[in-house]
Amino acid sequence: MTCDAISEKIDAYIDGYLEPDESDRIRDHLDGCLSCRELVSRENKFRQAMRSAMEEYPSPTLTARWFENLTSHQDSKNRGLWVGFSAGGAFAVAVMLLIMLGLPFQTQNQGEQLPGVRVTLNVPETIQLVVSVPQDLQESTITIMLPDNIEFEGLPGQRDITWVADLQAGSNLLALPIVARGTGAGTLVARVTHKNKRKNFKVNLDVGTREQTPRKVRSTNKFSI
Amino acid sequence: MGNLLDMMRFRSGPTRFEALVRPHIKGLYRAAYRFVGNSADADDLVQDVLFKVYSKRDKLKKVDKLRPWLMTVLYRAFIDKTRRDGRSRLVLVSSVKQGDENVVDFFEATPSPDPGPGEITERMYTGERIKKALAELNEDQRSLCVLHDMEGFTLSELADILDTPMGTLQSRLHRARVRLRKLLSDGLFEKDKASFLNKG
Repeated sequence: MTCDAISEKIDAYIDGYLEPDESDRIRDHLDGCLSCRELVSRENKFRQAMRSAMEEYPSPTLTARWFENLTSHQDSKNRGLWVGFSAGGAFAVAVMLLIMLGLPFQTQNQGEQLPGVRVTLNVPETIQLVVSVPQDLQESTITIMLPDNIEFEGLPGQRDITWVADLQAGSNLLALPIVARGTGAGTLVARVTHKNKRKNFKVNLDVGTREQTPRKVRSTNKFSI
Repeated sequence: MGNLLDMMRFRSGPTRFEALVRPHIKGLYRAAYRFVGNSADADDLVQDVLFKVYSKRDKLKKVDKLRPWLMTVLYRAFIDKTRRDGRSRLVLVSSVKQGDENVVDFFEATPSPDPGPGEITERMYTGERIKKALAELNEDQRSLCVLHDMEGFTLSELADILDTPMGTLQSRLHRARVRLRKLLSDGLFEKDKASFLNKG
C-alpha cells in the first residue's frame, strides 16, 4: 500500500469505518512509514481538539427557565383553545355527557342507541365530557376523534387529538371546543385506554344550519352511558 | 371535580416530560452552541426544540433512542433558523495572506491529549479558533462536523438524523474536513495568531 493510498483512506481508518483486513494493511504500512505515522498523529490531534472545543453547558437557572416556559406556553395555547372559547359562550351549546368508566372495561353494545346532540354549522360550540372513574387511573391515554364535518375550534382541519392524563377517582371534566364545517350526522368517539384496557364512547353529532337549529344561550343535556 | 386539562398540563405534562428530556439537556445545549457559536442563539434554539418536542410528547414513549431523536429535532430547528434568518449568525473572521511567516500551524497549536493546568488557556484558544473556522463552513458542512467530529455520532446514525445516504455524508464530511483544516492551518485569525505567538 502506497502513501497516497493511505492518505485517501486515513479518515475512514481513524474513524473506524474500514473493514478489518484493510485496517490491518494500513497498520502494516504505518509500521514502516514515519511520514504516514505523523499524518495519523496529526489527524488524531485534530479530532481530539474538535471533541474538546466549544464545550458550553447551560446554567441550572437557564435550564429551569426552559421548562417553566413550556408550561406557560402550553397554558397560553390552551387558553386560546379551551378557555378562550367559553368567553364567547353566548352562542355556545354546552352538552354534558356523563361517561361511567367502570372496570373491567366494556364497549358499547352494537345497535345501542347513542346519545346525540345537535350543533350549528360554523358556530363554535363546546361539548363537555365528564369521565367518571371509580379509582385513580394513572397515565390513561385519552383520544377524541371527530367526524369528518367537524373540527376542533382553533385547529383547522384537525379531527383527532390524543394525550396522556392521570384520571382522578370521581368525575373528570373535559371541555371540547368544536366547530362544524359541514351539515349532516356524524359520530364523536372518545376513547380511554388504561394499561391494556380500552373503552370507546360514542356520541352522535347532528349538524344543521342556524335556521334549522334553534339558538340556545346555554343548555345542558345529560347523557348517562 | 378535577379538570382533565389541568391534570394534563400539571400532572402528566411537564413533570413527566421533564424527567424524560432533562438528562439530555446539557448535550442538546452543547450541540446547539456548536451549531450557532454563541450562547444567546443556543438558548433560543434549545427552547425552540423543547417547544417542538413538548408538542409531540405523546411520541416520546415510543422513541427507542432519545438522544439521536432529539438531535434530529435540533438539527432541523437549526437549519430552519438559519434559513429564516437568511444569514449565518456566526461572526466572520479576517484573513491573512497565504505564506505569511507568522502563520501558525494548527497542529502545533493543538494541546496534547493530557493537557496540564498550564495548557488550559491554550485549549481555550484552540477552541476559539475552531469556533471561528466552523463559522466559515456552510450549514451542511458545519452540521456534519459538529455532529460527527464533536458530538461523536457515527455516519450510520447521521444517515438517519440528517436523512441523507451514508456515502453522501462520507464525501461531504471529507470535503468539510479539508475546508476546516485549511481554515485552521492557514492561520486565518490574526488576533488569535498574535496572542498565540506572544504566549510562546
